[in-house]
Amino acid sequence: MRKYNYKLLVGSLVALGVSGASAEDRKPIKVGVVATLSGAFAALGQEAMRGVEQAMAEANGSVSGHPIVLTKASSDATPDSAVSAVRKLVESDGVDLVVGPLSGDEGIAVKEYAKSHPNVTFVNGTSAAQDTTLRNPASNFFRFSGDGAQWMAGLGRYAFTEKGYRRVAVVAEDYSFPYTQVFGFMTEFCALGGHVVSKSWVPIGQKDYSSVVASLPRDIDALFVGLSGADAVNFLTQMQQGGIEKPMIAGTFTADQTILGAKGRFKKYFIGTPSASPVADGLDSKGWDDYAATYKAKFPDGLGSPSLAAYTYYLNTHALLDGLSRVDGDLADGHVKLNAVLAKLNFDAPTGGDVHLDANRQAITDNFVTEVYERSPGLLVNHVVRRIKGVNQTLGMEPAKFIAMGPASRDNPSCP
Amino acid sequence: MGASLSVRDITVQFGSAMVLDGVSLNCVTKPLALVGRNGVGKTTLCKAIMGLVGIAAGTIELDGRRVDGRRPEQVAARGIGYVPQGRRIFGSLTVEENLLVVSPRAAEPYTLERIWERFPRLSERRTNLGTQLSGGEQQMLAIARALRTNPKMLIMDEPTEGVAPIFVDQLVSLIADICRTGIGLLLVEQNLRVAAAIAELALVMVNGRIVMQTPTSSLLDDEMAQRTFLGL
Amino acid sequence: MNQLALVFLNGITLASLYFLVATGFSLTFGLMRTVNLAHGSFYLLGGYVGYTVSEQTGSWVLGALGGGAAAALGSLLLHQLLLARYDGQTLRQALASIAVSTIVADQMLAAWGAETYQIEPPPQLDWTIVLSPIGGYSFLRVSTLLLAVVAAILLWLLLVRTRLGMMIRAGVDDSSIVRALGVPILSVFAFAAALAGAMAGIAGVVCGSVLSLAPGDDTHFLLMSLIVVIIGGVGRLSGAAIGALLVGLLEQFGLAYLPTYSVVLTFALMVAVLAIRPDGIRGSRGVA
Repeated sequence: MRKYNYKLLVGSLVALGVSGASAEDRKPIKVGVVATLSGAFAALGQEAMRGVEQAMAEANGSVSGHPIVLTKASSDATPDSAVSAVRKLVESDGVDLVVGPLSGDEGIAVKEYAKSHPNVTFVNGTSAAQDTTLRNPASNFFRFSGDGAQWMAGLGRYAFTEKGYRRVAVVAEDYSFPYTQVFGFMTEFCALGGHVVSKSWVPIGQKDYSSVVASLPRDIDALFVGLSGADAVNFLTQMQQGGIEKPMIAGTFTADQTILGAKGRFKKYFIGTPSASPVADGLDSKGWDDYAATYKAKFPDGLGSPSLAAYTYYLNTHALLDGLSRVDGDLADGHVKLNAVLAKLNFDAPTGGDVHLDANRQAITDNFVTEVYERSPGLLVNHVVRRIKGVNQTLGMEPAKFIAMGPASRDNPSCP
Repeated sequence: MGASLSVRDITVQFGSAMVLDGVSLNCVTKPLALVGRNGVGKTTLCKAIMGLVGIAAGTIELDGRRVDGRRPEQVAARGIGYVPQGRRIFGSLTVEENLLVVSPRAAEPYTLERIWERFPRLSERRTNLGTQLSGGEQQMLAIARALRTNPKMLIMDEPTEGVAPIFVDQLVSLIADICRTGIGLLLVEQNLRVAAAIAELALVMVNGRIVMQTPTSSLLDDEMAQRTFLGL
Repeated sequence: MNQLALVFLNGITLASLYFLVATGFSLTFGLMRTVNLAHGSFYLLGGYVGYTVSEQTGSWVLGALGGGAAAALGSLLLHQLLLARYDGQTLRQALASIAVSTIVADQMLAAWGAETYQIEPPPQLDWTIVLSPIGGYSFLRVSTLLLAVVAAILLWLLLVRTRLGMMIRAGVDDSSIVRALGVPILSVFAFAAALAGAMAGIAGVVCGSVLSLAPGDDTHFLLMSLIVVIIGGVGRLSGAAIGALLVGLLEQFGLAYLPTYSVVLTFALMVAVLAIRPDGIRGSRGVA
């Protein structure tokens, strides 16, 4: 009698359990997100979190019945802050997957950390240093977004042939991402015969650039500005105050919505500035319109149009969730199934064109050359002038030849 | 006329060290000297009375009203004037400002004019910075500053320390004069001759306790006691 | 020559901003021995409130007043509710103020977002002045310098010509003796906390007009205040002025001629001052 009752009890419990699992009650998957919520790139970090939330909302917060539990951590754009944020997520919060980080040097540091934690899968955020994937990659670090050089594809040629610039000076922040951007720009621009006559590498988070402005050469056709966030706002204001009236060529983050959408009078100096980016606000495509409309509906206090940080975090999170659903949330044996699926993933980006990875788990994707224009009073957006299809990390060059050019640095490349 | 300061059984601890261990004293009308070796707790007692260090137990009363647990500015407002050890003149203030910065509890009797009359030397140097005065002048300024609060009771912590010998006699007669006007005085003094010239009675402090009360004159004659209690 | 003069001007105008923020920090530190590590937060809070007020009213002056008032109130509340409670416990005060700065930073992020803000400067100041050796120079920056000079003179008058200033100077010299002389020092402390907040807040509005406002500026200006005070000497107006000048000039000359190492230069100066004059260039005695 007793035994029978016991069986019945267990049986009903199991039945309940099974029916529950088929709905929503499978083991939660913990995802950690790292972005710069403080420091000079805080605006980008805020956008990054919006990108993650948008991708999460598309998946209704779960994958194959596994609820996704998000844990957010903040870094301040320094490599050690990113590593300690990731370490907290992995070692103390016990996350299975990490999305991030945001800034270039952070990405290199997190990639190194990933090597010592093979049982955690990392997908990139916005971070776009070349050597995160080009040299000594980590087998569990995936980047579904481009690097800083890929994001410049087409700009050097456009500046040389369409704008007719021959002599350019560079002002950019002093770390790996701007090195990579300048590398990407110069690879094209110098090959065509252009000259980069001077480079000023300035510290991140500088408030007052007026003396950098004062020391710029005057015999130039244009100024390449590779600054992000508040740095760009400060520099551009002081450039105008300092009476520099040379046209500008903007780095990817310099003509980004975080700056075009900022509040202040420096914005009018932007109109007509060429730039290059994997996103373009003025992109005429159904996929982009839908993506941007969802963004604006979900984040009414967000920017006029989703920024690159939102887009890249969205793209990487989307790819991760896509991969997870393809393996039915199976993270057994050190994520072996998930990692195999992610490496072969091929999907259409909201900007049109497909995204897939190379052997180093680095995205091959489309890029756009853009120009800033004023869509309505006060609303500046990037208007697409060219689409460059399928840009890979070696910018179409032979991998061996490309690697032989050496890593992007303050002095490499050089064409004075 | 005549203020009374009554300290009962106070203890002060710094961490685990007992600096004052059940100190009691009564200072009524006549000046009272407090003597003892360096580091036995004399200055701590002065600070405890002023509310500058907290007491762990005991009570302090001025004219029957509790002042323990009060903030220093409240103790001063009740009528205790403080002449700290080392004078502690405000070096970036002029002599006059050193006197003006004080918040007097009453306007009388020590108005600024009265102070200048009483301390002609300070009057001559009123625009000098506090740090530009000699040791003796600084001491006078410290006393004048305390008087400006128009206290009922003065606490002076080693007023002749570091003062040139020719100045000491002037200070002694000055302090004795003040006492004759009815202001009470608790005088901490290492110099027995000075203590005897001002106060008839002395308390001897050893390791945070008062060990005896004796006429200053007999202490002057008692070399044995001097060696034992004062290390002279 | 041209460039040298220009960089020099840039240096002293930047120094003006540092001076406005650092003076209050220096004063409260010298007076109360309170390390208020939330001082930078009041700078940024003042800037943001100033932006909102000047947007709503269209008046820059109202914005500056509003920003100053908001920061003064914040600084006063922090002092009265938290720091005064831990009187004399500098480590606790430092930790409590760090906690407050973190909380305030998050609240500001929630209220104003992470975008970079610029405050529309008064049109009367927004023009280019012609200075003979250099050519055109933003008058806005020149007016920053003028504002700092006026603020310095007013502060100096307050410190030297008023009884309140006397109490503050005496308090910096020896606050416990000031108390033992009956001076209601707690009210003086409260006043100093509010004044420091107000100056930081107004500096925030000025900086938001000349440069910009963004999250993270709070810690940047706190760090600069610390460096300025360490270099110039604690609790002294002239120390804050000299410290701010050195830091501003070094930063601008560094950016112009050694951009990669400009950050290091500031810290190298600080280390040098600490090694040679540990109390700062103007020493730690006195206020003026």
